[in-house]
Amino acid sequence: MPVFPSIEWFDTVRTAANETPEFRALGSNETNFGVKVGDQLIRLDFYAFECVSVAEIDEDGLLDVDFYLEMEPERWQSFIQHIQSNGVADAQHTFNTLDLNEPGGILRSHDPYRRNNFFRYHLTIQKFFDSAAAVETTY
Amino acid sequence: MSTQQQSLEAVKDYADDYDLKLDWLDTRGEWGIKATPDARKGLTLEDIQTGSYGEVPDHTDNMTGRLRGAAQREGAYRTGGYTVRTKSDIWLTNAAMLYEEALQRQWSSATDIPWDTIKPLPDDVERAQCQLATFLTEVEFVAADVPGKWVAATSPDYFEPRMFLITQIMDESRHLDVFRKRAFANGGGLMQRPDVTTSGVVGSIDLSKDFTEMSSRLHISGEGAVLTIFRMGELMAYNEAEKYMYRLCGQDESRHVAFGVMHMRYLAETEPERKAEVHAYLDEGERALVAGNQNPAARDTAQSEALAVLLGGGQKHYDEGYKKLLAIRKRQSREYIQRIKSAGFGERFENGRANPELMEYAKA
Ligand SMILES: [Fe+2]
Ligand SMILES: [Fe+2]
Repeated sequence: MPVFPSIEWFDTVRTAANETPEFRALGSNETNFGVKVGDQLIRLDFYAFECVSVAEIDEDGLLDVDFYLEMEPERWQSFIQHIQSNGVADAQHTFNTLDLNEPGGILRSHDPYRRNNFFRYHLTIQKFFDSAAAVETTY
Repeated sequence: MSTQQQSLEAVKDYADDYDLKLDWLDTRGEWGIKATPDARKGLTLEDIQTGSYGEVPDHTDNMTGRLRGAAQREGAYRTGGYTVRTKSDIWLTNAAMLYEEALQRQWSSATDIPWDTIKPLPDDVERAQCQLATFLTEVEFVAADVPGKWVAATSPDYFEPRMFLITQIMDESRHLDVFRKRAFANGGGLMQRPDVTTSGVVGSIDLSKDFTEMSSRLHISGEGAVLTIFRMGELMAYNEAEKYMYRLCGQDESRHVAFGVMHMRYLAETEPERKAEVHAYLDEGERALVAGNQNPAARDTAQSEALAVLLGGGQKHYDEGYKKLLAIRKRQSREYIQRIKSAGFGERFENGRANPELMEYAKA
């Protein structure tokens, strides 16, 4: 059973998402972003209609991504658990809502133009994480 | 000699024998182009910006509707009254990519919005929603109307940004229709039209005589502010249908903003002597951001009051809603400042030129 967060977990979600017609149907995109879970950093690359790769990165790697989403491990865990019990992230659990409601936000970027890519593709990014619904996960 | 050349020679011999004129066969642009599709995206506009076809002239006097790279024809009519004939007036590095993205990320207001999730709402909330929808339909009308004029004014040599504008017109038309549909979906209807949407500052978008002047008003000031509103839609939606409206419109809007930022960045880099003029447009845009009718989160308008009702959860909680509205203004102002810095005009926030009220909102 894949552990969150790990490359194995993100790769499993990646395969599930890429096989989901609704994910591809949201349209083409071109972005890379980081997921920051405590000290752990994962980079995801999206291109055309799929998530093409996931990789572990270090703090310096955050300078190369369009943006990154940062939450404490417990927050990520409850986010994933919510998706698994609900099937999809409801309105209170979209990244956009979490960013608006958390005091410092969860969306970070070193570049305002590249930060805009979150808004350009946020439904695709959300749908990617919805694919975690069917991925058995340990923490 | 290749088979192809042999057959061409045979056709020419035949033409000579029978006195046929086939000189058009030799009149052509660069030949031998073999564009390769991207393995994942397919054959995109970027893939065909190749050889001389990818070379965009700094200035063009092509007034005939001849597409870039096609051979000229003597005697062609000057069918286009193009005023945009200088590359830096309209160019950006990634218009082709944004165009393809727009095509791939279209959606339908008829079928992609879960309309059946809209249930009866308290009257004050429904009226506020309809007031906001009335405002947004008119704003979206302007946002489609204005680029429309610039499409016809742009030389075919700059067809990539021109075609992006056509996708924007489609997007804005859909935004107009989705908010109009919302106004009619739950027992309400349209409310009073906003005071000065097609005059005042929004009207001035339409009076722009220069593309960058228009773009700074439309893509940067106007749509940037609307993007923040859509992003806050999560907080003021009362059902899944409204949430989806805002989310889907937000994706489109951020693409339009991206166009504006990248165009301004291109202009700042290639024609820095025009920066002073752009700062003057931004002065005006900032005044509108804090007090104009183009921004529903600006102060003292029917739509800003509607927003406060929606954010608070009804007229009774107006004060609470107003506090959330102030938070929206702060975010709008901060996002605007970041956007302008990214576009290459950040000096205005260092040298005291930026609107002081806007700077206060950002700090608040
Ligand atoms: Fe729009
Ligand atoms: Fe727009």
